[in-house]
Amino acid sequence: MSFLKGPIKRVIQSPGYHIHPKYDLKKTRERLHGHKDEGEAQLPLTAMIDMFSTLVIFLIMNFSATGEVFFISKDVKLPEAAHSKAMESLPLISITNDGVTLESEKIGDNPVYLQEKDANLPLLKAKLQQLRILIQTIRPDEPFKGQVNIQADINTPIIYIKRVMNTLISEGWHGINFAVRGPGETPPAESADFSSESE
Amino acid sequence: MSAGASKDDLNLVPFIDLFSTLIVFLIMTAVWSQLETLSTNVDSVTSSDGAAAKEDPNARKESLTVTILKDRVEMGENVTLAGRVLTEKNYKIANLGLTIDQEKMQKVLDNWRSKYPQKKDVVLNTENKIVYNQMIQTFDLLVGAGFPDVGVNTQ
Repeated sequence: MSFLKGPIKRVIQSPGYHIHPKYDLKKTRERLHGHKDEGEAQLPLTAMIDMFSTLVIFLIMNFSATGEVFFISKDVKLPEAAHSKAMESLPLISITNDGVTLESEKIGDNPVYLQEKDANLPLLKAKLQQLRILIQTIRPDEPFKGQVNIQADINTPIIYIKRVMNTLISEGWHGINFAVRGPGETPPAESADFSSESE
Repeated sequence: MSAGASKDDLNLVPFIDLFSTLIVFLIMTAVWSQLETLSTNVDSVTSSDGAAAKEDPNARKESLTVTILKDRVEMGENVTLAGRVLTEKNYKIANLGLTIDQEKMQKVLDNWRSKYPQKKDVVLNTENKIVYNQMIQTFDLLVGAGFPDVGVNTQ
């Protein structure tokens, strides 16, 4: 007995489980139905990579190549200034109420009551002379610029600064740069009055 | 075997290694405090007007000075022509405690800026007993007011 009718003789077969898809979705099915990897916790790495990328971009944008070779003593609180310029790498003189250091080496004391006659800093003079000879030996073709950085605590009496400046000038170091902190939050200034105005 | 069955997971371990190393490097080399400088050149204490006056004694000489004292700030302007004083003014501003009234100093500096538009140098004198912060505050104010050649008097 035949179920076939018509002029062409055909064989009809029952279809299989599925038509084979263009892309294998076996993995997707496994994920959806949870047949595989059940019980294995996976770390969501996408969020971590996002965070890392943001952090790297932030750090690169804030990267600064200046001022990294600068040693700030714990006793020194630098003043703030809004109109300063970028710092160059130069010999550093640090002045506090206790003493004077050149490149982290102590080269003078600051007495409690400094008098005009105490203005000499012989060790600083000697070190500056050595430094000048060294610079001129390293760069014999360039003229000596005599540039130096000075850092001092905000509460240092100005006479200590002047004493160092006088020593620098006498040794031919005429380019003096005062280290300051860059523009930041400035505390509100206390008000003061005109005492008088005279012409 | 279906196409790409073993390639659908990107290997993220090298990414994470690279990023971790980069972050550690950047944090360790970062400069957290932005240090800058205010420059003074001792040669600028003798201003350009002073040099001109040395060459020509009949030249017009303008000198601006700011003197920080313990209780006040004095801002002086002096204009001479052939040794004859044309203008001599002295403004006194109170200096109370550790801060100086910068607003009032700014008014005088604006006045100077309009009167002497070509002038770039100011001599900053300080009394020995004032503190470093006051000198830097005043120095910064002068630079901000358009007088970049600030000569600090060390006497």
